[in-house]
Amino acid sequence: MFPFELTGMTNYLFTLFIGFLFGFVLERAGFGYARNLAAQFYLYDMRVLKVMFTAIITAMLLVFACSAIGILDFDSVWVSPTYIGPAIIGGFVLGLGFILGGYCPGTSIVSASTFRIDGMFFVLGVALGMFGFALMSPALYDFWYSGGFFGRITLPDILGVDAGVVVLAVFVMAICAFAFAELSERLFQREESPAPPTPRVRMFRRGAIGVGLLIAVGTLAIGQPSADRLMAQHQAELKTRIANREIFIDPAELLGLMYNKQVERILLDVRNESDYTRFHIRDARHVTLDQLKQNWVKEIPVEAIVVVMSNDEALATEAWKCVAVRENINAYVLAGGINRWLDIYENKQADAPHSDQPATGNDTLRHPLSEALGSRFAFARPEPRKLPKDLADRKFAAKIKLKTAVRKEGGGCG
Amino acid sequence: MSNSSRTPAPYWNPYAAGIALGLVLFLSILISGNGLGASGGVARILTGATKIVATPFVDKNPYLGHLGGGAANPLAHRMLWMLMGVALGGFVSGWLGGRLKLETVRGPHVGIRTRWIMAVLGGALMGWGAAMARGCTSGQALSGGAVLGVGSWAFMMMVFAGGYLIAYPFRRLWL
Repeated sequence: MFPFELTGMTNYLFTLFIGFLFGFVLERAGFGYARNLAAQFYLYDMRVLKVMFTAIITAMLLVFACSAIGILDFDSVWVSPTYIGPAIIGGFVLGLGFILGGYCPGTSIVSASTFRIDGMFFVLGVALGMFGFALMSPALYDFWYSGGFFGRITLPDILGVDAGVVVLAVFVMAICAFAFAELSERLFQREESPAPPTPRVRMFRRGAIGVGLLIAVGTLAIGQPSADRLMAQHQAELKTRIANREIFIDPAELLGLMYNKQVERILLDVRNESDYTRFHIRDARHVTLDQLKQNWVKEIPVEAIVVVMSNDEALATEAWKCVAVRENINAYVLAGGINRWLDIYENKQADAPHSDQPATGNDTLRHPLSEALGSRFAFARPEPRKLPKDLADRKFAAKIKLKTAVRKEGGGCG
Repeated sequence: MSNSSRTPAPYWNPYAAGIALGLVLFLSILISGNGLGASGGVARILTGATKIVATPFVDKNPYLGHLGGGAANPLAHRMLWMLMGVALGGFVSGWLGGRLKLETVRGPHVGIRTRWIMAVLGGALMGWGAAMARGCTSGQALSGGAVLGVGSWAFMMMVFAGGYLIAYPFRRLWL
């Protein structure tokens, strides 16, 4: 499945090739010539808006269509993380620079490489501006580093809809923007304005809109891959991993993890609300199977170790599947569930079954806890040094594998 | 063979150019998972050059240090290759289209020197803004916009807002 994990020289040469095409198309679009770009802001030639929005919707349609039919894993695609404050301030200053300088960084490179002197001065200016930012960065760092940080979020995420809805909406908006651009070129017409479209161009435009609309509606109809669809797709692999019990960790291993300050861990308790209120492991979050099937999983950072638990194992294993189908997520199940945890740390049964032995119960809480104290019981996170020696020394086969996070690198300055 | 004295070939129709640009962006995302970019390359060359003359400054500076402080080599990065590709692609296209020309592009009422000063000034604002926003029109607006990133759309709206806000008072530069 796309994308590939390109490394080393392959990555560099592919990027060089893409850069070549990028520069070539920018030049062909007329973006190496400052007056074509500045014209956008004087409304007589809307070339910038037309090229940019057409490019955005073309790539957007193809990306989300490929994701919908399952040949592109969107979770592995780099989405520039949102730092809303810096994005707003930076964007605004960039816009000011556009009017004064007539280029943006990419187009100024193209301009300079076609021998435009103003383009060369602009590139020099970009480097100076960045150096200026560097000089100011000690003071700006807090804002730059955390000013409205929301991580990798997309418009469909914050709207809580399938990406297809946003794709269709953006597509329709872009078409309206094009209509506005054509109108604006007539209203603010100057000598340099482009000639009205010929019948051939009109036909081409109608055809392109038709194809685009078809892809957008198709993407929406198929929908982005849900947890259920992914699970069906990876059924065999998930089954094997469950059957050989490589994902079930011993309560003692979980306890060790809870005291490990080096790793980020996320404990997910998928039992019903009342069991959770009666007792849960310290720092375990209550989450339902439905929530896991929705977008909730996206909030899990790549480096984190996830441990899912229920009273025994059945429900937790179902929940584990929802989490584990997402690429890059390192997830496990608490072997024997909360019941075995309580056997060991409440009832002090050092000889409780080990992680290779499945739980037998029907996922109900076996322990009659006297009070509903949630995680305020001592055994919600027992201190290893206060445990009886046989419990503290409980042997287990370590299953947790630490993975180095595989992350896509950004395109910009980050 | 084309040369700079012949009549330049016309530019592509903007919608056709847009589709071509979109296909390039899509190809990049499909194969590598990454979009396009430009300012990142400049930032890394700047960091590399500064490191040669003032290594401790780079190491201590939050922004430059982030790009290539300590043992990290700021130049060992794909964005540098992207930058080379853009320059090469632009040159080849300009050459084939007969558009290579040593000149200063400027508005009809602007002197050459003013244009140069304004280009440096505008470039500096862009460089500052791109550093602040972690990307420019290529990396943020175009690539981030296509994958529906929230920050990227906010960024794009602000670029147009900033531009339109001062376009009128500065109209003498271009009209």
